[in-house]
Order: sequence, then structure tokens, then C-alpha cells
Amino acid sequence: MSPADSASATRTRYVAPSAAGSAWLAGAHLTWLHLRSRQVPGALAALAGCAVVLWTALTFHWWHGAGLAATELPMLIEGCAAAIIVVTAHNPFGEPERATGRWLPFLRLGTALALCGAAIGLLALGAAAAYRPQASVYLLSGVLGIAENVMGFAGVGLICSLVTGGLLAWTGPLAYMAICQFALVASYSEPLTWAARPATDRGGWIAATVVFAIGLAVFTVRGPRVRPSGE
Amino acid sequence: MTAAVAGGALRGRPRSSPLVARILRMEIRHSAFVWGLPLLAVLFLYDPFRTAVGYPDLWPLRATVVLNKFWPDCVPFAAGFSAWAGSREGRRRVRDLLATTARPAWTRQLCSFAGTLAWVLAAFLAGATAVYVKTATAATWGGPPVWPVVAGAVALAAVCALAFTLGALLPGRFTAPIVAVGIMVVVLEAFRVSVNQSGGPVGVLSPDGVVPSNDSGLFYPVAPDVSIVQVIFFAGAVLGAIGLLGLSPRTGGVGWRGALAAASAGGARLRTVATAVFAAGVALAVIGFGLAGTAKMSVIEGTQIPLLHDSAADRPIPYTPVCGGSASFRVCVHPAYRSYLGQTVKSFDLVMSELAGLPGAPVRAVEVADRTLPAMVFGQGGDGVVAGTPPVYAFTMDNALALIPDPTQFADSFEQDVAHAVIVGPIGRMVPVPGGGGEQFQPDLGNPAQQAVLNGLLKAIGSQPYPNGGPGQPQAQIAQQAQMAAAAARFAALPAATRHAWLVANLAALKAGHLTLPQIP
Repeated sequence: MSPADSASATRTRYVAPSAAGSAWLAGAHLTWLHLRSRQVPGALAALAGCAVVLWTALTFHWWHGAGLAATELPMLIEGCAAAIIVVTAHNPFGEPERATGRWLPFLRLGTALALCGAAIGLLALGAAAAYRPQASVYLLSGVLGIAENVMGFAGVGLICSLVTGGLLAWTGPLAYMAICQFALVASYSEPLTWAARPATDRGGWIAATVVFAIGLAVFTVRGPRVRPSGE
Repeated sequence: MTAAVAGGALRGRPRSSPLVARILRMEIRHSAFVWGLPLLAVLFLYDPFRTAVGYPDLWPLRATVVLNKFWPDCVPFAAGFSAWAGSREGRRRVRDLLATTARPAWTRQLCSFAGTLAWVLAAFLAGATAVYVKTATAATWGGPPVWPVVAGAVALAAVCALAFTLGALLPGRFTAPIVAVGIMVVVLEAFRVSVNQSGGPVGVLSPDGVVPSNDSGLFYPVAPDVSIVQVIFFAGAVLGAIGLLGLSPRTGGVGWRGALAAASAGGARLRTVATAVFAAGVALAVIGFGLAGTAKMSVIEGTQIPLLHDSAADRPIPYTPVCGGSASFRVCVHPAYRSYLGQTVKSFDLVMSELAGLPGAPVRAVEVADRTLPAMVFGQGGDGVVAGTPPVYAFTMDNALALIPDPTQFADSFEQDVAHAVIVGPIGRMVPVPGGGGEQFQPDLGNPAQQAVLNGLLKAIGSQPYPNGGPGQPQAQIAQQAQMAAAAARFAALPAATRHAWLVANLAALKAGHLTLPQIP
């Protein structure tokens, strides 16, 4: 656990809500504190950085080959986005936070969903900004590919967080992404390497969605592992 | 760690090496890299090991898997966990607390770095050993190349040092994944430059590059030039990153002010050492980069660095060929291909049973180094040429043996080469490019009658038709495709003895171009 993390999260001045909107205000306040404790603003900035890198990669042709090989670099960026999302799973308060009430699972669920949505939106924005089909500058996999990979990789990471804890959960998406990279290069097409398949592949979508749903469900219910070291 | 340092301080001034050894042991025990080992093992089995096992069992070729496949697998883990270890003090915000310990931050950080590096190198060497042990059980000639492992280890150390320093400079929970992916993007870009062979130092310095030809390192030694340059550059990167770690105040270093004044106050000795390490690192990296810029690339001979190249290394490696086949047609190959000898001999059986005794038919087949064959052999996608008196088929395994060996394709290409040489003649010639600009290969596919006989004979022995040169062939011949196919089918349907007798009687006229399609039986 990081003392400074918890300190910064609780340092916000508490404002007593009015009687009328007290429930909403308290809810919003709780949500904001939860997001801050997970460093969500930092995560959003990092995701925006990923979108800028995607825009640059598309504009300046930072990849080798055509066809599926052209999705190598976008896949790396999508893996990075998923890794950033799952790192926000870390809870700086340790185990005591689990005794704070019934809203915690919903906050976890909402944060993960919102960040996935933000990542897909920002990356799609980056791809759209670079879109110049007459100069062959466009994202081959399209927004579908972004959504499939971000959700699937994030699902792997959320499952990983149950074992490694939130701060090390990035290892899952990166390792899985590396497997998909080599599946792509070597033209392997196992069902579970969905990122190496075309974005319109139904089997790939089913696999990615199932992994994301399972990851989200177990993460919502159990939360990330809290290690004795706080990390 | 803190307790160990404090304990050491209480006992006065302990000898530094046992203290450092204790810290190092603790860092190795507590390294988070352990979490990455199962994932790395899965990745290793999934890609590098599977690829290596699928390659032809040649030492130099299979050893390339260590750098081309396993090294990039290790990079995200090495970078991520090093950045993770480097950002530890900043992430936990204990830097001020640790500043009160007796040892400088640099010593502490170097121990942490060494702990992670030890795991990374152990994993890399374990993977390389697994590939080499598997290769040793199958290879019939040569031994394990050391340079790929050395270059890969030093390059991984550079990745770790760079990531560790970035982690220390920019601590945070997002640092590790971002640094890992950032370094992977750089590695991917360097690979792209290397594969495009567009020249320049970046492609030369990329450990991950193109797969060499099968003959690489068999007939002539692989020059270690590129590996040496990579080691120089990456060793420089390691020292540069470590020096930066010791100098930057953001990482608890002694600071840049007075870096060039050895006698300045406040950690003077440390500053001097850190500055010297940083300067040596930058110098080595610049030298390595400069040397890589002088590289000369050649598809056959590989990449050479003129300043480092030892011309004595260009001498052929002595070997005793292994031979097989019948007394009338011997087939000899390099001992590294001993396991393919039976398959090679079998590949000639059918075609030689059709062509034996004809004028121009080879009396034996000998494998030679790819660089000794005319370039036009590779232009046509062939394996060799029939030349000399008596005629000998000199071939290479470069094209014959695919990375994932295919026995059918293996036999087809030999049969096509030999049959073409006997029925048509040379595979083509180099002609000047219209308007200047060097020479280009012009295949000699033969006239329609020759093509029909060639393809009929190949069809009769179950081989694929000779490659027709695609859209480049003359329009008149394209129009005659149907007639040629019909004539080929007729010729293939003849009994083997009739075919052979017809060839004995008509081969000279056929090669001279005096026969037409209707004259083919």
C-alpha cells in the first residue's frame, strides 16, 4: 500500500451535502474518490497518449508489411491501453477497503467499463484523425478491431489481477499480446489468439467477449488480489 | 533491504562485497520477475521452441531463433519488470526515507537492477539452452554458435538498464507497461528497418532480423562483425543508462552540477565514477552506431563491417561430403544435411531413370555453397545448374529445403532443374536492362515443343510442371498453352521405355529447335 496514494485520495475537502441531493452528491463524491484512488485521471492521460501514438504510427507508416501484418503496431498500442486499464485495478487501501460497503463491486465494474469505453473511443479518435484512404493511411482492423482487442486484452488483465494484484496485472495483457503478435507473424490461427484474426471474424469476437465478460465478472465480485506488501 | 543496510551500519564499516552480495541475494529473492516466468515459458513454447523444432536441423539456422524469436519475447518482460523495479522507491515514495541510509542510492539501485537482470538473463539463457539442446539431438554437423547468445544477452541487459532508469526517472503505476510497450515499439521498428534491408545503422543494430539462408555458416563461417558491433553498442547503452542513474538527482543520484570537476564537494568520488561510466557508455554507443553505419550488406555473404572484418574468416570451412545413391548416379551433400541425404537421393531416382544415358544428363549431383552458383539460379527459383564434362548437377539446399521442409516440393525442384537442363539447356541468361541500369535475368523456358516434352516428362514422374515465367513469357506461347498441354499429356501417357527411346532418337533435334508440337508422339 502506498501511504501517499491513500493520503492524496482522502485529502479532498469533505463538503457536507444538502439534505435534498445528499444521496446523489454522496454518490458522486464516493465515485470521484474511488476514481482518484485508482489514478483514473492519470490513466485517461496515458490512454490519450496511446491515441496520439496510434495517430503518429498511422500517419508515418510505422509498420512492416501489409494485410494482417499491418495490425502489429496497432495491436501493441491496444495492448498498452489494456495494460493501463487493468493497472487502475490496484487498491491503495489494502484489505480494509473491502469492508467499506456494498458499492465497491459496482464502482469496480463501472470504472473498468468506463475506462474500456474511453480507451476504445480515444483510440478510434486517433485512428479517425489520421484517416486518409487516398494515401493508404487508415487502420486496417477499424474500430471493430480496436474494440475487440481492448476488451479482450483487458479481460485477460482483469483475470490476471486476481492472481498478481492490480499493479502487476499488466503482465497478463502484455504476455497475451506477445503471443498474438507471434501468431500474427507466423500465421497461426488458434481460436484463442483472436487478435491475430481479422476483426470481422465471428469466432474471434466470441472469444474476446467471453474472456472480457469472465474477467469483468470475477473482477467485480472478488476484486484484485491484495498482497501483504501492499503491491 | 533497509534493515540489512541499517544492520551493516551498526557493525561499523563492513566489507562492501558481502553487504552488496546480501542485498543482491535479497533483490533476486524478491524480484517480481518471478511472476513473468510462467508467462514467458508459455510464450517460449508457443513460438521460439515450436519454430526452432520446425526448422531444418542445422545449427546456424536454428540458432537464429534465439535472436529472431526468443529475444523479442523476452523484451516486454525485461523492460516491464526492470521499469517496475526501477520505479519502486518513487512509487512507494520512500526515497527520502532511504536517503538516510549509509549507502548511496546508486548502490541500492544497482543491486535492484542486478537482481532483475539476473532473472532476465537466467530466463534468456535457459531458453537458448533448451533450443540448443534440442538442436544437438538432431543436428549432424557443427556446434552451437555463441555470438547470438552473447549479443542477445548484452542487448537484453541494455533493455533492462534503459527501462530501469526510465522507471527510476518517472516512477508511477503506469510506468512499467508504458515503458515495456514503448521499447517493444522501438524493437518492432528496428526489425522493420532490418527486414527491409534499407541500410543504415538501425537495421544492423537490431538483434531481431531476417532469417539467413540454409547454407549460412555451413560452407563459410558466419562473420561475427555484426554481433561485435551490437555488443559494443548495447554495452554502451548499459553503461550510459547506469551512469545516468548515478548522476540524475531525480533518481537520488549525485547531480549533474560539477560533474566534470572530480574534486567538487558532495559525493565527489561517486560523481566522478558515475560521470566516467556515463561518458564511457556514450562513447561506446557512438562507436557502435558509427561502425554499424559502415556495414556492407550482401544477401549471400551476410553483413560485414569493414573495420572489424577479418578476411581470413572468408575461407571455406573444410568438410568431408557424405554421399549416397547408386554407382551410376552418386549424390553428395554437406555433412550438415546428412539427415536429408536419403530424401535427396530418392528425389533423383525417377528423373534419372527417364534421362540416364541421354546426352547432357548429369552423371552425379553435388551440393555446393549457394554463393558459388550463378545468381540466375536464384532468379528462376531453382536449386542448381548442370555443367561440366562429364555433366554434374551442382545444387544448393537454400531453395530446396524450405524453413518448414516439404518433401514434395523438395523433390519437384530437383527434378525440374535436371529435366530442364537435359531437354532445354541452360535456365536462362543475364541480359542488359533496356535503357541501361545493369543486367536482369531472362529465363529460357524453351520453345513450345521443348516445354511440352519437359512438362510431359515431369508429369509422367509425378512432378509439378516447370515454372512458366508467369506473365513475362511471349504472347505466342501463351496462345499455344492448350496445344502444349495436350502434347505434354500425350507424351506423359507413353510407356517409359517408349519415351526414353523417343528421347534418345530425337533429343538433339528437340534441343536444336527443329521439332514442333505435332511431331511429339
